[in-house]
Amino acid sequence: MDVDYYSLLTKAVEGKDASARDEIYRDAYGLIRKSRLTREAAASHAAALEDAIRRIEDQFVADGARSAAEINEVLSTNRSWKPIAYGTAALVAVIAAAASLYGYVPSKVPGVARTGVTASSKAVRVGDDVVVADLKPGVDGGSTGEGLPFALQRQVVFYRTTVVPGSIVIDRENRFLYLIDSNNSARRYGIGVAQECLRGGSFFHIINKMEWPDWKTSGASTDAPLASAGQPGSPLGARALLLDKPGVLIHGTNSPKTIGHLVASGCIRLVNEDVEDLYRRVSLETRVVFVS
Amino acid sequence: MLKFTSRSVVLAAAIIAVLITNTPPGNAQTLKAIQVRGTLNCGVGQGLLGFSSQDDQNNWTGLDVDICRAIAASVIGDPAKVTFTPLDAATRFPALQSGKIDVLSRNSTWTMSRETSLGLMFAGVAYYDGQGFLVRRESGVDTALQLSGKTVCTQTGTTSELNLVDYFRANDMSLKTLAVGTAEESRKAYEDRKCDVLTSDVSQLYAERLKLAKPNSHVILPEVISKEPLGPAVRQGDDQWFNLVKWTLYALINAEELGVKSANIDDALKSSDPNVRRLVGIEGEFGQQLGLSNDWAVRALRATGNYGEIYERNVGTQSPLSIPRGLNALWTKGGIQYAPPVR
Repeated sequence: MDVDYYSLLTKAVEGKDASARDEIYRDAYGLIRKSRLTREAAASHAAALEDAIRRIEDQFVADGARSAAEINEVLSTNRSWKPIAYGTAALVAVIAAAASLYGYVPSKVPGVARTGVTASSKAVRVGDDVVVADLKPGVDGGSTGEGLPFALQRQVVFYRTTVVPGSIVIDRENRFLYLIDSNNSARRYGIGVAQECLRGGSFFHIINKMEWPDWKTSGASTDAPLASAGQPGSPLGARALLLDKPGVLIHGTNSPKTIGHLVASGCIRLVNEDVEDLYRRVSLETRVVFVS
Repeated sequence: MLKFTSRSVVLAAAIIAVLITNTPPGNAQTLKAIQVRGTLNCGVGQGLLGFSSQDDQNNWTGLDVDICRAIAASVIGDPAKVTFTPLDAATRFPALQSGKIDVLSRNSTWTMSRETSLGLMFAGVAYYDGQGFLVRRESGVDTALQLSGKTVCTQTGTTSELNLVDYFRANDMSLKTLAVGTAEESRKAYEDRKCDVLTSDVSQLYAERLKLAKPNSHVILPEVISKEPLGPAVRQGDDQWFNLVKWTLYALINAEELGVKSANIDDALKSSDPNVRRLVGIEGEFGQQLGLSNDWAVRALRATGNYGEIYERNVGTQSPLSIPRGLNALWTKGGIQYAPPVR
């Protein structure tokens, strides 16, 4: 008849923070109340539960004091460790949960390579077939193309085309986007291309322009706003130009190092500064032509 | 004492008759000499980043070098069987005229006077170069038409000075120049901000950019204001050799246009596209018409890749130079590289 509340609860509250533990304790009390025990039996169970809870909470405080002492030794400050430790744990838990839950971290990509982008006068293997991993949503990798190789930074280049000036030409194979100007020149931007946008389609136009767009991955509930949407750290970046085919869009990024490479998700991505520059220069109905 | 029997006279006459009738048209001696020798003699530059230079293991690399390797591959079957002779500006044409080299691949500009008065012919354009401008990114200038009133460093007595004057006059812009002696002095003056603009051939500007303190804080403007078509040159008088060099270069460009590259040559050999089939030799006898086997183009492509791959590897995004394709893109991709069809 005796229930070992202490060992049961210890297992249940392992790794949980104070509010989660409180919920568990309340649930336990509730279970005793709802059970068909006699009043005395219920009272003794409740007492046993209370004891177990007190022992567990004392242990938490003791652990806290011990690690506080350790941390204080290292940091030698009088700051309370609890909010920092809980905050960090919560943040890590939220990011990890969001990433795994929403499937943003690519799980089965063969040969994912760290991008070896270093000094900007070095070469880049534009156009190779290795998929490069993204930064997690919420992590802001930067808004400019500063660390990128020279070829991928926005620049005006010689470019002859029959497409009318003012239109956009995208060369997926070589990872460039051209905003066509008159006089055989164009503004060229480096892009990253998502696998799902690598093939198919050639002639589109812009149907919508969005600033700091919200993003959702396929399968997520449509009314759940995501923690990193609409601000630096958003995987869709500062701007989005939506084309007349669903899923095909030109957008920013929170991982500038993926520019010039194949990526796992999105469509055509530019660094935030570049996509803001492009956004200012194009209007709705602008033609977008994929030439490769 | 020589004995002229009637038999030896007849024999001599027969030999002479055979020699006369069998001399190939246009005096096709070069191909034969190469096949007997077993190596291609290629004249190159003396150390120009991206075009012809030697790495620390003394291996030759560069766009001009790769053209020669492609020719060796299609003619001899081995891209390694090339003897590279570095030549300076004074000795490059005499070396070709005298027969010391079979082909000159030394970023030399194709001009009328070189073809009419030096006894040589250019077998196509490997690289469309021309004079351009380099400015600081912070100046905000993104077209040469905004250079009015800016100071340009120029080397006295060069054709680039003349081109500059013509361009500014034609576009109603005022020109201020700072004359210096060498390219080195030009770069120093620009770095010390004594002039706002550097001018030289675009390929040189991309190399100069790398020597500046912060390479990425300088940009090269899109305008090309003069014509410097660079290509391989051969001696006049040997039409067969001229065709060989020319069509090897065209095969590399056609391959890029048809999507044939190093990674998919084996698939190209099974293609049903008639243009690809003719290029790789499974249809037609185009190799034999050149005096080679029908897989002449495939040999070249396996050695160096197509024109786009050669470009990107040596002067493009896979090299420190990072020169945009510009004029050197295919005619279907925003440039003017256009090869006649293999047909």
